[in-house]
Amino acid sequence: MHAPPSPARAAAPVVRLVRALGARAAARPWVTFLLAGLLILGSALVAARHLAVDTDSSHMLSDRLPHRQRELALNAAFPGLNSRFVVLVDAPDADRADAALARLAAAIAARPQALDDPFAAPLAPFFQRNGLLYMEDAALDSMLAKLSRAGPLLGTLAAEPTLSAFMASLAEGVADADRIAGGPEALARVIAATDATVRARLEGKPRPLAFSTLFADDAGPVRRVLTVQPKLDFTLFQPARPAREALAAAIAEATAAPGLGDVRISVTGDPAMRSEELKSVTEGLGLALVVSLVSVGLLMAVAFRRLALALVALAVVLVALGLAAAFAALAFPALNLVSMAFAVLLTGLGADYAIHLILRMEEPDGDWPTTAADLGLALFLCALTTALGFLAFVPTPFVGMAQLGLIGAFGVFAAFLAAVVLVPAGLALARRRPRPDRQSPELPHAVTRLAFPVLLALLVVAAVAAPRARFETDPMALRDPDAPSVRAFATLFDDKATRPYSASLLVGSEAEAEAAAERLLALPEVDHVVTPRRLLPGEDAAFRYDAIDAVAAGLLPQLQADAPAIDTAKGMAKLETALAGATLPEQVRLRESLAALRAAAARDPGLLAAVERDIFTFWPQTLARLETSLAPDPAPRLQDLPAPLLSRYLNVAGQVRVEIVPVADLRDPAARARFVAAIRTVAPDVAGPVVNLEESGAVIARAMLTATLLALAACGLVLLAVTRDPARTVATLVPVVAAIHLTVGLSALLKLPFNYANVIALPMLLGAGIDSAIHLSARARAAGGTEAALASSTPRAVVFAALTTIAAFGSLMLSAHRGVASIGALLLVALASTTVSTLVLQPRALALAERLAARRGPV
Amino acid sequence: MLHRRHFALGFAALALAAPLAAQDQAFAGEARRFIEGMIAELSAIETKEKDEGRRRAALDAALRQRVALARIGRFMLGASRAQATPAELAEYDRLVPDFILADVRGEIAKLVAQSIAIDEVQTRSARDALVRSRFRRRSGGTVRVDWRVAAGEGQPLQLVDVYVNGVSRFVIRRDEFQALVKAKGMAGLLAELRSGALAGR
Repeated sequence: MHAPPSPARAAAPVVRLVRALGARAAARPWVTFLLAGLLILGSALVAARHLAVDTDSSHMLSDRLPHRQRELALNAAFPGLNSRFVVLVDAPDADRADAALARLAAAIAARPQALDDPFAAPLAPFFQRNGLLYMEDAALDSMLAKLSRAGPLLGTLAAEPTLSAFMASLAEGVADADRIAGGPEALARVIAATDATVRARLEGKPRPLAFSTLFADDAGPVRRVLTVQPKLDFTLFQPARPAREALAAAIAEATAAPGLGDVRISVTGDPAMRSEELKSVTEGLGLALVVSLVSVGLLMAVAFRRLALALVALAVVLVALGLAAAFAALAFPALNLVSMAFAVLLTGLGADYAIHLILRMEEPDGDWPTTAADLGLALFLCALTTALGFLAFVPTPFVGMAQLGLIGAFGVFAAFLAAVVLVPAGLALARRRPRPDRQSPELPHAVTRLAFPVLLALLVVAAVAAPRARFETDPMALRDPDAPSVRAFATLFDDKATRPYSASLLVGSEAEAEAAAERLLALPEVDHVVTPRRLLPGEDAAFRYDAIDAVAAGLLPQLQADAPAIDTAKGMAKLETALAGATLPEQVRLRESLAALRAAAARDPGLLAAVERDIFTFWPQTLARLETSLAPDPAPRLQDLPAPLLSRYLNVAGQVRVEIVPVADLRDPAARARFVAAIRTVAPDVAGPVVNLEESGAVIARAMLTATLLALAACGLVLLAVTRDPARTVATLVPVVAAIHLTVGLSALLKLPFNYANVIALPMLLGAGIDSAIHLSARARAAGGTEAALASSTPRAVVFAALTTIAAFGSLMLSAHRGVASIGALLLVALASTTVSTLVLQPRALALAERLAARRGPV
Repeated sequence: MLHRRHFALGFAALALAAPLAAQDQAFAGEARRFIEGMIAELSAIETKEKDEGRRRAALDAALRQRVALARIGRFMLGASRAQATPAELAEYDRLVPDFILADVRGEIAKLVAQSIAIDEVQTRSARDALVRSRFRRRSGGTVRVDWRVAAGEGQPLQLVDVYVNGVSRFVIRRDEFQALVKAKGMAGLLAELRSGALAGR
């Protein structure tokens, strides 16, 4: 039988290279460190000049996937669907909302260098004319009745917008509510609003009167939505920053107007969320990098008990980081939100090589040639398996993760080379001080004996929990929930009209669109469908037109009257008289505030004029909107629709987008799956954000499984190729497979779902987690058995390498970005599982392998 | 800079506009006469006919000719029409004219007994006008009453709405009908029409 070559012989070229590199570096340590410093500086400069970030998570999947193809076709036909800021104007009433919206639109229009094409339906002449045609029938009839009844009041104010005329009208209303104000309810509302306005002025906090309270059934808070296209500056790290700053300035300008202090304006939409996401990710990663470098440094200082050696190890990390950053900057046009984490990952992984080398060199026989002979192959194998773990995503369509894989794989080899060069050089500079007090072998033994039953129990629990592990497909679930744009986005779900999760179907004509719409509307999961034709008020709008026209016929002549219909002289006195015997609460309050006003006006002659201003602040806009809205188009046509709106559904090539809006809140993954499955039964080629979520989830889950199996197979083959010992290979892989099992189970138990950011954990766990096993296995072979390996510096190195990696990965949990934090959390769980599994299971597995080898006889 | 062509276009526009203005004037005159005639006839009935029953019948007969009962009926039902069965619609169409007549009779009878002055006629479209008038109250002050008259192509003029101080009688009724249908369904509205309870409101 042909005997396999010894691992030492197979590894000879690697060991020779490691020994030679280290020896040369140790011969000229200052030159080595000077060159390392220059390398770090040069890499940092390259990275600073060329690194860019793409925050669109949809770009993380291959464009060749069918759903991405459909998405790209949709985006090509209707560009910019998701590239606009969505500005939400929330106000206590329609008057303030409309005033703020108009001021905001004007402020945005004054900033064309950063913001483009603002659109808000309430400001579009078409909707100002025809807005009432879109109202629900009962609400419209009720509103028109109120409007018609308020005709005398409106007519009086249109002819004479003065405080006296206003109060005279109210006096008439108090005498006969139907006569002037459209009934007791409307009168009560306008009296309460007047009282609030007078009191606010007396308290020195002006609050303009809201006329909309007269006509609205539900005079509650009002939201208006404006969208605006940011002009992106791609020379900046955050291309949307100038647009965001311009929008913030416009918002400040819009709300600075008197009476608009209680208007809240928030910004959301993809550019806003991406911009804030980039900020939270970069800030989070920056903090995580600092924390990881400090904690890794401290751990190494504890491990080495010498600061100089910790600094040597940190130099290894910095060289690896710098080279990887420069590689990333030159190899890719832009990083993504996941691949940005490479810096923190490499901080943890890069330190491992230095720790093993330094601790081995601290042993009494730890000269460089011996260390290189003992660890050269193990370190190379570790770099190889870790790189294979990183690279496992490369053959999958998850191209975003493949990018992290390539950078990570480059980085671990950079760390390996930096370690074998800088550690001997560093130890040549620092006085070598062999460690007399080796790690006591009792502790690992005790730990393994106590921990074995616990680990077995944990594995059983994990087996039960593993089926509940889930995959979170929604990128929104990963964003910082406290980011203003994310908070504003969540409020869009409160109203069906603004719910952001919808699907789109691209068709070739309006007829096809209408046919598809009919099929889709038959599904119980579909709330409504938007097509160009359905943007118009609909066939039954003729009924609404008649009603509006009937009110307009009576009201418009009143609004255009030259003189008021009532005697408006001494209006305040008339109102005071009318309220003298009032018992209704709002009338009593107004009587009191009028008495206070009269008393204050005696001291301040300008006070009544100020109250008049407060009452009529919104009157011009109210009157103009009223006149416009009472003259709708008898039959609005498609070409009358505002172009910014129509172009979202019909393009110049005649292609039509059918927007499908769900009944359910699709933040719920089960509802999302049901919706997508249902609409696919009638429209298989559907695209859009919600379809992307579903498809991406499935693609990433498959990619994770593929990558994990690939990493397992690749690492197993590498180990087998080098050791030529199947039993030892299996013994090395057993703890890692157990750790994967434990990680999946713990992710379910700890409610730590897998997501597009943290799926790197499993293949990386394989690649990096196997390192400990490789080291123990290699040392066992070199030292002549497992017991001897446990008595060496290797277990200590394994523990500290794991601790530094855990500290670095764990620092990611400090990020406010939930995706980045989840990478840290899951990797923490994965590495803790790996370390425990290795220390507990591997000695037993190796002992078994050794017994098997002994039974086979010497080779 | 103005050219001869611009003047030519201007004259052409004026030439086209002139017949349109004349048409408007003719229709305004027709509308005015329609309302004046109606008020005169109703006023005469109110003054001469002392018997309540006969007066009501005479007023109804006069109004039936002049009020667009079918159009107003359709208008008042609005979008609720879509919720009604054919049988319910047929009953509604049968009941609603009397309801409208009672409603208009009650409103107009009070007005025509008083002094009236027609101020102007505003044409809203080719066959749609608002005749604006003021009634002097016996108790003092004036009430603005606007009469909306319209005619289909080739059809005689009819009264389609009455606005007292700008408030549309039928818009208010339509809101009441919608609320009723929403609360009690079409059957509830028909029951109210049958009982005559709505007319007195």
